[in-house]
Amino acid sequence: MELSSRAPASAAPLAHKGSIVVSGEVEPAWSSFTVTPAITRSTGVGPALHWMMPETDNSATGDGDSGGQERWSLLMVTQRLHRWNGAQYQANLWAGVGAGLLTTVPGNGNSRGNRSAWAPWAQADFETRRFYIGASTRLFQAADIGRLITSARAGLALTSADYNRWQPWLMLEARTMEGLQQGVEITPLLRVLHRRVLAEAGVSTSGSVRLNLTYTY
Amino acid sequence: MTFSQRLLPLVALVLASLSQGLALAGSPLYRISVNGMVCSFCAQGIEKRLKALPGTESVHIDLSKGMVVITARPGATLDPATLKKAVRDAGYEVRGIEGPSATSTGAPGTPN
Repeated sequence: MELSSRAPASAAPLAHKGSIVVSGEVEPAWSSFTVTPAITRSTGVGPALHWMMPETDNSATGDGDSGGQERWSLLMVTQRLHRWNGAQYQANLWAGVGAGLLTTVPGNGNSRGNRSAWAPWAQADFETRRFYIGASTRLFQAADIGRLITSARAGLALTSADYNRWQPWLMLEARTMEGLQQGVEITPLLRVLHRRVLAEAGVSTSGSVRLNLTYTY
Repeated sequence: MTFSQRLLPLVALVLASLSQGLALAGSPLYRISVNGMVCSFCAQGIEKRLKALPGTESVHIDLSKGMVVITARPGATLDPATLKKAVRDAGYEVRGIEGPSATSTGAPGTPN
């Protein structure tokens, strides 16, 4: 089941040829807005904006750029490397890369302005009509600042898939965000999807509220 | 107004209804078995691409059976190769295509 550059755990980051996937996600440490037009059935190219709020103590990353906000403005390429279509399942391998600018916004008087940035990522997922499992990793890198975000997700549909009805899912995500948060964050999410719309909401073990909305044009 | 003059509109209405019914009965159906169609969020791309074909009247998707049923416009025919390409462009794999067959009572022709 969509990704703009940041895959809302199920769907593919990319929809059908000629489509445009628009996705927004909001949470305290990392928010994003991505637009992914599919120029072929397996390739998408589009802009992505990510806002990150690093933890005050970034000694683990050694970047010394504590506090403030980071804005990553990237042009992303999304590539479906392979899809396995079975009678009862779908599995995908995805990869991509973004290039653009990191803008740091002063939080501690240590602004460094703009610098070039790049962001490779990869994702694997497997899905049936009632079950989802997937993992992804993505790196945001700019000069001496690096953010490595790795996640694994599993999901169970509460109802059978029906093309004419909303389908609710319970998702569980484990995620590490090096440079943004310490430790492993666990987030249970409720997902609902129906044709062009996929929405998710959840609260992590650290108390962070997460909202995600994806729409396919 | 004579009896025949009063009867004429009624006859025309009956004929029009019969004509429409015959036309619908003559709409060919195509059944496509599709692999990988596991949720509506992904399958809507199949519907969108098939509906864009000029000969398509309606598209019905059954996720549980992995089946897409297309009703063609009356008198129109759809090329199986074109149907297959539309499904592939949506990211899916065609197991088989049946049709055209005539519309039958109770056939899944519900527009989505």
